[in-house]
Parts: sequence; structure tokens; C-alpha cells
Amino acid sequence: MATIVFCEDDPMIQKLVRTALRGSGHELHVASDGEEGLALIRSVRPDLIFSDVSMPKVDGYQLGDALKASPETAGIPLVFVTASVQRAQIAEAEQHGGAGVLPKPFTMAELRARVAEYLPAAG
Amino acid sequence: MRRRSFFVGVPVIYAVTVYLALQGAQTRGESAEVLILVVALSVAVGIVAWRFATRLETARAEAERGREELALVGQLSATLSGPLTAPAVATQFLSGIEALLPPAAVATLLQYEESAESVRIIAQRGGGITPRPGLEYPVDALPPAMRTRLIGDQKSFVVDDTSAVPDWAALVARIPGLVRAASFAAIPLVSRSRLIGALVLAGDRPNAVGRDQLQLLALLGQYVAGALHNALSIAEADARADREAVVNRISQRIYSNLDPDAVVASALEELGKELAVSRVIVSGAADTGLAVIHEWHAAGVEPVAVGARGELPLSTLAAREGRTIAVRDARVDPRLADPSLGSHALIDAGTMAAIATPIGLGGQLSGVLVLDQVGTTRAWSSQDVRLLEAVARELRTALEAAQLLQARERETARMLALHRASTLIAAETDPGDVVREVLEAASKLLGRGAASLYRWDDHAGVLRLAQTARAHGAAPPVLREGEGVSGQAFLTQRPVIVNDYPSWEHAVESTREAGQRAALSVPLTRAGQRLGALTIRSMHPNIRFDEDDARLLGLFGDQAVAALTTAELVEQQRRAVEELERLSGAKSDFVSIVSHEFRTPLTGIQGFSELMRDEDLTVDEMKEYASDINKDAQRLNRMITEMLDLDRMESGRMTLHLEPTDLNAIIARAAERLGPNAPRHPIELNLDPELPLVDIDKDKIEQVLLNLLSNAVKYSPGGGTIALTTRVEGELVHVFVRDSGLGIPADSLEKVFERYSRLESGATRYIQGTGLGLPIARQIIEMHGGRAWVESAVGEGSVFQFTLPMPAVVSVEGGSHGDDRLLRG
Repeated sequence: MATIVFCEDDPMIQKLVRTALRGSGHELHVASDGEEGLALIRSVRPDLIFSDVSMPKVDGYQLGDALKASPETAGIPLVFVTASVQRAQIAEAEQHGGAGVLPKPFTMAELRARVAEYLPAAG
Repeated sequence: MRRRSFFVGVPVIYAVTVYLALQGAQTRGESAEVLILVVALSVAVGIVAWRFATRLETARAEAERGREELALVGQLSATLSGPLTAPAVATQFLSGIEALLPPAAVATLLQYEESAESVRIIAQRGGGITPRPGLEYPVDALPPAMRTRLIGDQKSFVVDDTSAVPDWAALVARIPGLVRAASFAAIPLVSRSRLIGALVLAGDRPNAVGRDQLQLLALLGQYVAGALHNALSIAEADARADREAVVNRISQRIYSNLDPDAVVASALEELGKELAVSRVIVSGAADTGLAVIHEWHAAGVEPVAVGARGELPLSTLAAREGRTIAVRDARVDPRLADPSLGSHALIDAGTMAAIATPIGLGGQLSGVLVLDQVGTTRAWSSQDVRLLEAVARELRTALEAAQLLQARERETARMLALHRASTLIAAETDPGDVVREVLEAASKLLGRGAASLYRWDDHAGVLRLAQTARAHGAAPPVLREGEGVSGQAFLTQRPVIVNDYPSWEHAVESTREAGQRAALSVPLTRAGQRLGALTIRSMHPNIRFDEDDARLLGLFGDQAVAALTTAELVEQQRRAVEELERLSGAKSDFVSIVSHEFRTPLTGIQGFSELMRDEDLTVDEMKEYASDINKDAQRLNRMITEMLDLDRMESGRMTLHLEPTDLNAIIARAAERLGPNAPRHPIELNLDPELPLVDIDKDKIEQVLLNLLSNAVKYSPGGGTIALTTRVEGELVHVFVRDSGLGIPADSLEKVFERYSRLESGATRYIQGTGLGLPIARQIIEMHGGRAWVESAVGEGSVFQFTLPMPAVVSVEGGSHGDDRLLRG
């Protein structure tokens, strides 16, 4: 069983994600902004992180930079959730430590698939 | 012989007769009476004989004289048909009348030269002096009385006793031969009403010449006048033929040669050599008098030099008087003493005699032709005068052709240069380069002086030097209106030409000191707007500007204006493009922000509906998710509405429907609507119950309130009370929406109301939402005549507020229920 942290400020999407991953067997933690997310990641040490790009206080890219900077968190795969997925965004995502990009709006299937990509199936 | 024998024979015969008579008387005895009778008879016979002898003598003398006169006439007629030259006629005449003259008298035959205003000795005789033929005297050397009588009236002038005339010596001072004369007579020689000359007799004693003799001489004079006239006419005809040959040669050259300069040069050479003078000069009219245009000089003579001015007093005099002027001796000629004629440098340098004739027709002076003799005086003959005048006539054509050619060449050169310059200018794209090219070209074509462009600074009220070419540091950087040529041209809006800068009243001191001699400036205008001035300046003393130059500079000025206009347009366009790019950038930012925003609620809608479709859910869950979808859909709808509002605002199509409304009620309703969506944000209402009705567009104001409230929620993500307050302040209703959230930095307090505004700090990056809510809110408030703003400090929350005027704003067109007002841009 793995731990996932999802950083997203929009409550609707938070709810959606929670519902979507309810039956995945993974433990899900949600943070509402980058600052909260950073604290959460450090305490929980997840196996996978999803983060929206635009969030208050500390946004997704800043979060990514912070995570990359710290050796304990640098290895955790980070997926950015963003509305636009042009090559520029993908490059930018990589620059800030992102392993991949999940475009918005995403279907549940897409979300689950992404999770499965980085995490082994829960027992 | 006969006389002697008569006077010897008669007394002898008488003596014999008396003796015989006496002998006879003695024989007859009547001796005494017979003797008395014989004596008386003898006396009577003697008297008669004496008378007879005297009469015979007289008759003989008369006959003798008559024969002599006849001989003289015969001689004269011989001379008439004999040699034809005037001097020969004269000499023959004088030798013929020698017998009539007292031995010590000097007889002189003078020829009168009307055009040269002089008299010349053709022959002289008697008095033991050496004849001086060819000697010439100007007419004004003769005593005035003699001039009037002899030349004016064509009558004899006689002075029987010169000692009786006061100042005789002074009167004839210039004719040394007459000073010693004791008596004087001048007899005119007139032929065909024309005074040919005079016979002048100077006696060594008073009354040397008797009246009878004078009459005879006058008579004979008529005779010889005719002969002289013929001789002179023939001589003149010969001379004319020679002259015409010269003139023909010259005119042939003129008409066969297209180069007027070469023509004039060869004409001058021809003339110079023919008349054996030192220099032949043609001068032309220039602004300040005459200047030498062409010159021929004999070998060894110093040239005056083409272009020289002011050293030709005789030419100036001839030009002024419009006729030929001959000067025998320039050093003493009183006519040249007038200082306004120019400098006597040439005269001082050796020119002694000169003759000048104007070249022109009917008052139009093209120039002056001058012959000049260095080193000796010269008595110019009427031949010389006529040849000179004939050549002058021919030259007139050549000079005019030269001037026309020159003018045309100049014009052509200008046109070519202008064309070249225009091409260069057209090739330049940078307006600064264009102006530079214009200045360079203008300078080159107009005397290679400095060229400057001045621009009018309306703000400061001065002309500023914008650009300059070939300046030698003398262009003043700033000029007032009316100062200097540039200032004057700008002020009067006409070209200004100044050819004598140092004495010009509007000259700029510093420029005058720098030595500027001439300047030309044209105003620059565009559609009546005064832009500045374009100026050319010259330090060179010989450069002068004229109307043609002003016109040319005007053409350049137009190009400069075009360049300046282009520059301005280019700048405007650049700024417009910049603005467009900025807007475009902002818009694409906006579009990306908006699409980002749209995607968020869409994610919810999509996601929840997917869940509802694919998962097994409880009914409550289903209802919950449906509600979530609904909320997101509404959110999306709001976003779309705001976008449309924005569009309508931008295209000026938004209208207000005003009605008297209870503002508090609207506020309360808005709060109510927000409440369920913002559980962490309790709303506190402080609404003034005394609040009067205000004329507002209910829906729009509610929109404003919702917007402010949602902002308050966004700006306080950690939750917190939102306080809504209404208050009356004087003529206004003041509404406050206070949150206790993040606050807004001071420098962004206005920015938040800007469309698509971005607050760069990461902490507030999300807060703008669509970026349109606040701008729309402000617009709506302002349309109502109110004001919207925010007071805030970072960390201390924000107070968004607006005012609405009360009572209602001025209604546009009556109507008690509602006013429709169009939003203006």
C-alpha cells in the first residue's frame, strides 16, 4: 500500500480525487496549497505526489523546486496537474522536478492509470 | 623796258620840241608868249601823260592780280582732281594761299572730329614753325566763344588784336601755338551743312590779316571744304570697309561657334590686335557693379583678372551714361575724378588711355566693352569708336547667348543634383538618415555652406537645432522666434535671404562674429502646422543666394518635412505595435488563464459525472455528486458571463436599468447567496437602517457585491469573517466589504482593478481568478456615478469599498421608472 499526496486548492477537485481514488487501496492525503503540501510531504513521505500548478501561497513549481532541493524528497515521483500540456509546459514541468504531467480536465480512468504507472497495485 | 624808254624818250622829244619851238619863235620875234604857251602846254601834256601812266599801272596790277587769282583757282582745281587724301588736300591748299597770307602768320588746317570731340591738325604752314600734323586737341581746349561760334554757328571767329581780349593766354592755355598769337582768325570749313574743319590763322601782329583777305579765304575755304569732305568720306569708306571686314570675321565666328566663351575670347583678341591696344575687357553687370567677365591682354601686359570688381571707373561711367566714352589721358581726365565710379588702381598701375562702350539694347545693359592702353596716352579716332561700337553690337548677341547657356547649365546642373539627391533620399529608410541626406544635398547645391534643420519645440517656445551638416560649430543650438535667419523664416513663414549678414538687423551676435556672410532659410510646414526651419549658411564672401536658391531649398524642405512626418508616423506605429503586442500578449495570457480556469470546474463536472456513470454509488452520493456538478456548472456559467460582460463593455454595448432600490436588501441577498458556498467565511452585516433608496441597476449591483464577496473569500483562504457595511456619508452611500485575509501590497491596490492584472508574487498568483471581476465591478460602479477602490495592507486583510451618489444621478431623458444609460467605453 502506498501513500499519495495530492496538492490541489479547488475543493471540488479535491473531492473528486478523493472519490476517484477511494477504492485504489492507496492512502490519499490532500493539501490545499503548496505550503501545506510541503509540510505534508515531509511528514508523510509519500510514494507519489500530484500537484496542481496554480495554488496560493506556494504554487506547484515552487513546490517541485523545494522537493528537488531536498535529498529526502527528491526521489519521489511528482506529477503536475495543469490545464495546458504543450511541449513548453512539459519541459517546464521537468525543469521543476516533475516526472510527468496530467492534463486538466482528467478522467477518472486517466487518474487511476497514472497512479498505476508509478505505484504497484495494492495488495 | 618800254616804260623806261618811254620816260627817257618823251623828255628828249619834249626837249627837242621846245628847242625847235624856241628856234622858231626867235626867228619870228614872239619868243616870250610862245615860250609861256609851250611851257603851259608841256605841263598839261605832262599831267595827262602822268595820269595815263598811273592808270595803266593800276590796270596792269589788277590784271596781274586777277591772273594770280586765276592761277590760284587753277591750282585749287588741280588739287581737287589731284591727290585725294585729306592731308594732301590741306597741304596743297595751304601752299596755294601762302601768297595771301602775311609772312609771319601761321596757317593751320584743322579737321573736326565730332564723335571724338576733338580737332586735329591736318596741315600747317608758315611763321617759321615746324608743322605738327596729327596733333589733336580736345574741343574743350578751345575758348568757349570760339567753340560756340565756330562749331555751334559754323561762322568765322576773328580776334584782330588778342591783347584786347582779357585772359587770352589763359583761354588758349592748352594750345601753346595760339598763346603768342597777336591776332587770330578761324574760318569754318563747311560742306553739305557739316563742319569738316577750320582754317586757323595766327598772326604775329594785330590785324595781320585783312578783312578782304579773310573773305577771300572764306570763299576758298568753301571750295576746299568740299574737297576735304570727299577725301574724308573716301577715307572713311575705306576705314569702314576695313572695320566691316573685322566685324564680319568676328560675327562669322560667333555664328559658327557654339561656345560663347570661345567666341568672345577670339573677338576680343581680334579687336585688340586690330587696334593695337594693351587690353580688351568685357565686364558684366553684377550685384555690386561691374565685374570682369572676359579679358584679352597683349603680351607683357598684366591682366586685370576675370572676376575683378570695382576697378573699372571708365566702364562704370560708360554704363551709367549709356554711350561710348573715350579718354585720352586717364590721369587728368576730369570725368574720371568722380569717386563713385570705383578705384583708380588700374590707372595708377599704368593705364593711360581707354575707351569704353556699353553693350546692350534699349536700356538692357549686358555689359561694357573697354579698350585700354597702358603706358601711353592715345587719341582715339572716330574709326576706333565706330569699330568698337560695331564689335560691341556683335558681342551683345554672344554675351546674351553665353548668359542664357550659363543659366540653363546651372538650372540643368541643379535639376540633376536635385534628382540625384532625391534618389538618395528616397533610398534611405531611416528618417534620421533622410534628413542627413537632405542637409548634405542642400549644402552641396547651394554653395557648400553649413546646413541646419531646426524644429519648433511648442512646449518651450523655441527653435531647437535638430540636425546639422558641414557646420563649423557656428549653428546656435536654440533660437527664439524671429532670431537669426531661421527664426525669421519661422516667424514670417516665408523664405529669408540675407546676402550681407554682418549688417543685417536680425543677425545673431555669435553667428555674426563667427564670420557668416550669407544665409538662406525656408520655413518647414505641414498642413499649416509650423514645424521649424531649414537653413543654409555661408562664410564665403563670394557666395550670394537668390530666389532660385530659395525655391530649391524649399524643395528640400518639403522632403525634410516628409522625412520628419515619416519618422513621427513610424514612431507612432511602433508604439501602436508595441501596444498591440502588449495587448495581444495580455490577451493570450488572459486566454490561457481563462482556459485554465474553465478547466477547473470542467474537471469537476467531467469527473463527477464519470463517477456517477461508472461507479456504484449510493443515492445520497449520487445526489451529492449531482450537486457538485451543478455547482461547477454554475461556476463555469459565471465565468462565461463575465467574459461576455467584458466583451460588451469593450464594445460599448452595456446598458443600465436604474430603479430606486433598497441597497441593504440587495446586499443581504448577496450575502445569502454566498453563504452556502463559503462555510468558513461567516458574514457580518452592518447595514445602516436609515439608508435611503438609491437609483441603481439591481442586477448589476448584485453582481458587484457577489464579486466583492467572492474576492473576500479568495483573499482570505484561511477563512475569517467578512463584514458588510453600509453608511451614509453626505451625498453618498458608502459600502464596505471587509475581509481578514492576506491583504494586498500597497503598490498593487490599483492594479487589482486592472483587466488581466497579474500580481506577481507567488502567494497571490492564484487570486486574480478571471482577472475581470474587479474591473467589471469598478466599471459598473463608475457607470452609476460612484467610485470603487480598496484599502489594504499585507497581512491585515482588505476593505473593498464603493460609493454611490445619492440622490440618484442625473437622468438622461426623464422617465420615472428606470433610466437606460449606455455604458461609454
